[in-house]
Amino acid sequence: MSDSVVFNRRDFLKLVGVGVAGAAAGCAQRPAEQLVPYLVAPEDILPGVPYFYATTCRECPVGCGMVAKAREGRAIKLEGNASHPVGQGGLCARGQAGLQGLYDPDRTREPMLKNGTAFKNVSWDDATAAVGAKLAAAKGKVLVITGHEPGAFGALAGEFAQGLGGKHVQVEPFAYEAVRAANLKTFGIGVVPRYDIGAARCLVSFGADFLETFGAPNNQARGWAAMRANTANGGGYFVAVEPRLSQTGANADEWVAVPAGGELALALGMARVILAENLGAPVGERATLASAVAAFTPEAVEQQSGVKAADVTRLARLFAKNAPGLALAGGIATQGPQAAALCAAVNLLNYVAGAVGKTVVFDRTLDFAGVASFAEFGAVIQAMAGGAYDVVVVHGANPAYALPKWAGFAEAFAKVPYKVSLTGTLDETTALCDAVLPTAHALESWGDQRGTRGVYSLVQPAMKPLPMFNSQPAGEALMALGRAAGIGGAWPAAWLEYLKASWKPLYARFGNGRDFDNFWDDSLKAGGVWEDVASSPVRWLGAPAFAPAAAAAAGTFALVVVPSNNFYDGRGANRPWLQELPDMTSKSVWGSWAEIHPETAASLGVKNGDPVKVETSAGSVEVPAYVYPGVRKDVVALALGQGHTEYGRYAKGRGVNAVSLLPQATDAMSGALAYQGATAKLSRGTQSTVLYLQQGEKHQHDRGIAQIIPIADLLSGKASRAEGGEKPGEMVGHYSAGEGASLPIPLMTKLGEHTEPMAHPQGWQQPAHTITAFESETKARSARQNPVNVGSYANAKHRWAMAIDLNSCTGCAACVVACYAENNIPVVGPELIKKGREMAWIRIDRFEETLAPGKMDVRFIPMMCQHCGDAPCEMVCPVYATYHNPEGLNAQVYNRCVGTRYCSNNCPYKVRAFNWFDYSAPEKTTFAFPEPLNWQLNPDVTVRSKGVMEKCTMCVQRILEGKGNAKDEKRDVKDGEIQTACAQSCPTQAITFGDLADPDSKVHIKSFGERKYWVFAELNTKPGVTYLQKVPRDSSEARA
Amino acid sequence: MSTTLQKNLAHDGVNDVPDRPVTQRSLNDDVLSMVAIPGKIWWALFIFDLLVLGTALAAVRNLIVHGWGVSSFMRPVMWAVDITNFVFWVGIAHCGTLVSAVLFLFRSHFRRAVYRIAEAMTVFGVLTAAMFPAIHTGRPWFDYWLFPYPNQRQIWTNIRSPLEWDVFAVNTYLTVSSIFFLVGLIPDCAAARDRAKHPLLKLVYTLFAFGWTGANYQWKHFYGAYLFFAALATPLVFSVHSVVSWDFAMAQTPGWHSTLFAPYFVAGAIFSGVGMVIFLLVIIRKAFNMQHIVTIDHMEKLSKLVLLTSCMVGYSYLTEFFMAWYGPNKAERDLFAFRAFGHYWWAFWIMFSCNVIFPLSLWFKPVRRNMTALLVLSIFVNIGMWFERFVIIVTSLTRAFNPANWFYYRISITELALIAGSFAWFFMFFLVFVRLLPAFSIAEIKETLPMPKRRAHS
Repeated sequence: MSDSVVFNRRDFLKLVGVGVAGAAAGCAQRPAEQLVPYLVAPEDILPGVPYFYATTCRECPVGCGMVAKAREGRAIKLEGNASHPVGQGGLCARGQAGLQGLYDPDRTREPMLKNGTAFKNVSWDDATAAVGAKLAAAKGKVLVITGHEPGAFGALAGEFAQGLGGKHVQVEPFAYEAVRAANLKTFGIGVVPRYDIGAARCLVSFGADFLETFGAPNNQARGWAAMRANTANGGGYFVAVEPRLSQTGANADEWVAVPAGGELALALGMARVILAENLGAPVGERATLASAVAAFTPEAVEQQSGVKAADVTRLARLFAKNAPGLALAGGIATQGPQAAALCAAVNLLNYVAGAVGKTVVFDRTLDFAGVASFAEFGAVIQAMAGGAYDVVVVHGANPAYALPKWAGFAEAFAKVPYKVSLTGTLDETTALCDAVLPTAHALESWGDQRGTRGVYSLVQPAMKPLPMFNSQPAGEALMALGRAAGIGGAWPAAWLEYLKASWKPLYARFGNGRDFDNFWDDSLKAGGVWEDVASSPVRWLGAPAFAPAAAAAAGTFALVVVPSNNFYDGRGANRPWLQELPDMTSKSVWGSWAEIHPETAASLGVKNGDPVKVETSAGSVEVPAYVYPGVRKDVVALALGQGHTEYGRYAKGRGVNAVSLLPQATDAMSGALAYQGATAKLSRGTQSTVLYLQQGEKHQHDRGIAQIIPIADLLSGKASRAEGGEKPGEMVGHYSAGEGASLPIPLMTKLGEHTEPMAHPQGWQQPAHTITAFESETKARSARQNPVNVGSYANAKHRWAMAIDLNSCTGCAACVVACYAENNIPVVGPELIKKGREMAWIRIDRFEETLAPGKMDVRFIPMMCQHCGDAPCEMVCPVYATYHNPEGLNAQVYNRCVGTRYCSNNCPYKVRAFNWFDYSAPEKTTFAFPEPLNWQLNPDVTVRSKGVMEKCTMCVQRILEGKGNAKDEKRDVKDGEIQTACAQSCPTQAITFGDLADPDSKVHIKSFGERKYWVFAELNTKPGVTYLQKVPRDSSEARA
Repeated sequence: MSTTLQKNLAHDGVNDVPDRPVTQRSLNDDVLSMVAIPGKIWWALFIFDLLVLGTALAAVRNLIVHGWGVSSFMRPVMWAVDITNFVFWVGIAHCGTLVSAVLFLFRSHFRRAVYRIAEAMTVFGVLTAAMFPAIHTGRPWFDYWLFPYPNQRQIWTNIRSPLEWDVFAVNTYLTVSSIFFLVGLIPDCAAARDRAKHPLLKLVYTLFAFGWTGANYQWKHFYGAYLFFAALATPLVFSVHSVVSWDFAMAQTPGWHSTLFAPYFVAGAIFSGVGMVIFLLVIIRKAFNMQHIVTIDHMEKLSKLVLLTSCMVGYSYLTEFFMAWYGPNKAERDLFAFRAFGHYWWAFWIMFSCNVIFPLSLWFKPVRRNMTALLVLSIFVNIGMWFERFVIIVTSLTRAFNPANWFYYRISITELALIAGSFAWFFMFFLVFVRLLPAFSIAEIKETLPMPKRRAHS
């Protein structure tokens, strides 16, 4: 052998090393990113450890207490503050999406002065000086417009305006003027009362969307759930009286489809029956009351509202006999020309039925005292137009968008020589201004909220202001402007000092011997201070004159303008989560639509998505039609909140602004803007429109997905009866799941011989990961399918599971937004939603079983990965990317996923979402988190890449955190300690998460309860998610 | 001219193409004349083919770079054209092995004239089919994870997944059918080698001929091997498409979850494969003037096979509907009502007419012996069978269990490019094949010819 080439091991390794290094260097595509540790660790930041700041939601005037979770100095999640009286731990979809207001990529970045028509960036000093000079010159002619500011900022704005000899006016579109005016007239107290729905045994809502925007929705939803949970004594009947079945109304047992404006007659008619039959509580003002309603006999009501006289009597008796009842009115969906009269009528109804003081309580009332009425603001607009103001400062209000054109705001505003906007976003009003001063978001600044009587909530920053926005807290900016204008000598140096000073009176009352700093810190920790307030006793003062609503002319449609559960009055429109969150009535996203009755649609020749032209005397819009049997034939309904011309990339140019359709009309009694009462003409449109629907079918085709159990069956012990829709004949068989109970099998056949009970040897223990509520523990489908009690899974202690009570689910979709926030779910936009590429891990399916006036049956069911014990997806994955973990979770390993998508095809629930595009790569056009939205991403959760499947993990990161905490403290995990994001956010606590292997856990008790069922149980997937049947009420049985 | 030949090969009572005498020499001449420097028509076809393929490659590039979002796939229809194409081409690939292996074992001699084309079609069909599982994944660069290779992470593949079975079934089939194809080519390539002038072509044929000299022991081993591979390939005809069908049958989606699927798919595969063979033969016969080698009788026999499998497929369709009606499963019943009368009714009726109704005309002998009719029918059969897979996949996924997720799939330009590209890919191989390798088995056809005799004194 020749040894001319001597190649020893070391040389070989060297050469290989060189080769590998060369290959590696040649292949490197991205520069190496360096990980630099903190040299000096910042205070309050421990990597990997979240901090929680109690603060207050500022997305609507209610001001729910909430907790902001911050990681590494960034707020990443908002959750309800369970100890706070407003919200009680629930936080609605809008509140949670407040985070995207903070990280809105379209926030104003620099102070700007208008230079001709375009804005030019300037420094804060220059901007302050410029605006200050204008303010100083305009002394006596300064107007400050803010939103509803029940707290220190409102006071500061007042002082600011006063110091400059000007006027401060608060504008709030949804300030429920009619409710307050009616309460002032009838009870002498002009507030929005607290509705104790939980105490009510019969609830009649006259168009009040109390589960969406009206009043304090989170508290009301909690109360509603309590009312519905009270099945024991046959209470909880819920009647929705409205021309268009809202999402709130969809939860009702009965829909009384009165014509628009017909609610008044029905309320008065019911009151008359109660008085005439002496069904209610004894009231002193009987004679006055009787005379006020004398004209509204059931027959007259039938004539005015179309509700049959017998039904009027039946509803009245039902309402009175199920005391305490609660009749609700108010909200934007009834704010028409007779809004206050309706509220007064409902007050009368409550009063004669004895509900006032029991379910209508004047203790923690909502205070809108500082808010200018529509008439007052109209006067201000007049003054503006007349040249009364030289400088206008706007903050937190967007009247250019929220008011109809005839209110004249834009014209009057244009006449003001100098307009300043202190704003976070470039909204419609700001676009008209001459100077724009970027203000910090509520999550970056100090503040307080005192909108609810007896509750004083604090707003504290959850993080440092975002560096890409050169912003200042509004209070700070306003004080700087004041000083530049030569006022504010009495103000402390900083806004925080001002705020603290304004809390001194509260310290005097709540201090309890602590020094102020301790009081302040304790209040911050708690989210504020609150006290029990005595209910103001009220008695009947007098009714307004009730006149029947004018009948609509034939051939026209009543225009019903409804507030949006997603966008409120439109302020949520630039939050991509809310745009992508389906409207729970139409299941439509990213746009506007007109809801029309199927017969109307047929007569117009339009189908879902075809354009319809809605025309009123004020204007016309073209929108896609949504054919909805939940509106009357003479009604066309449009939602508020879209149609922005400014405001940001997600809102601008999307849909239409329904306000533009409002003709010049106000409520006769309160002067409030009449959102209702317009007549509209409908015709087929000519533009091409698209309706972006997120749900396929709204009928469940007897699939038994969202199930109900009639209350009679529940009470008579026929629980868990087979239930599969209207046709019991479809059920071929069922098998026993225990003594006396049987499993509902809506679709399928009886099971075969291998489904007999399995005998286990003595001492056999069910492995934790196989525990399922699906069958009792002693049974299994076959011996082979229960893995032996050995191996790496044998020592598992937990079986994570969920129980979802459909009787409490209102379809509010707070859970959906919570899931988006917690799990870094990309927002994909309307076109991809239309294509069926929604990424949500949890969705609310809406099933309309019967939807017609009278008894109706609409069911909401949250649908997410069921974490099946025998998961169809796991079997088919060729690479074990989805597998069953020892604690019963159906895990998805993104790294391992090749993307065959077989799992989704085999998933009966269709809850898996595929990354069709690269939503996480900043260089791609499909990037879903434009800076700084990506700051919100939860560092505990992987941002998934293109081509992998993803789905609900039951917030496995939270499970690990909880287990880790328990291990650190050397104890077992406590029940309720670990909460998934959806369960945490649920305002009605419909979702329960926990350990099924723990027989004392809430989830175990619920999962083995009498209303339990599993979706597609016949497929034997053994889901880890157990649903509890909804309990619709029957009016005949709801009687006491 | 021999009477045996006339009886075996060239009897042609319907077609007016005159018989040509076939001798040992003329057979070599005729078949090897196809192996020639391509002419203008061939080049035109080939370039057109490459253009179409290029479009498809651009689509594949988009799928990989941007993601499968560029298609119109969606939830719930996460498979559509990709797997439709896969099953379609695997199905096409089934006929070759049937003709070459099963009919070989059954001593059906009509196969001799047609099996080479069928086998080539098989190999190219599998090559086309195998593309689709490979590119249809979300992350095709990780496809190799589907192979159970030893790795330091000790992760094995999930052998319970029908997709994993596919990996083995398709690869086995590709291996066996390729070997079978290449073994059969040996004597003919030797003949081509002996005639080849161009040194490069000579090298190619030398390689394909594996040193064939025509020695007696070589013939002995050749037929031994051929029989062995035929026996090995025969079960694959039935197993591979059964496994492919289990991709669906093992899932519980209504419309998929059926024990009928394996025989139903095998029959359908043979149906479409024979349809494709007829299509190719009709064209090649005409283009290369080979009517005397592939006779009308051969074509008639193939069309009888089409008729038989068409009836089996039709029976399967009806059985599915019967079982849906007869069975207790409402989801299944709803699905089949939807399949025939719902949103994709047109696809279902294209499938049903092309696969069941039109082939009924083959009961008539004149139709079976009319090349134009056969060409049209074979195209219909393949359209019908493509739509069969589309109907099975798309209608079932569109309407699975949860009505909230009933969305309709609309084909996009990307998928159209993929469909066109799959044909281009297949025909690219095929065009090269007809010009490079003997498209008819000289060796086997010669078996039917009378032994050559020394020329008698004249």
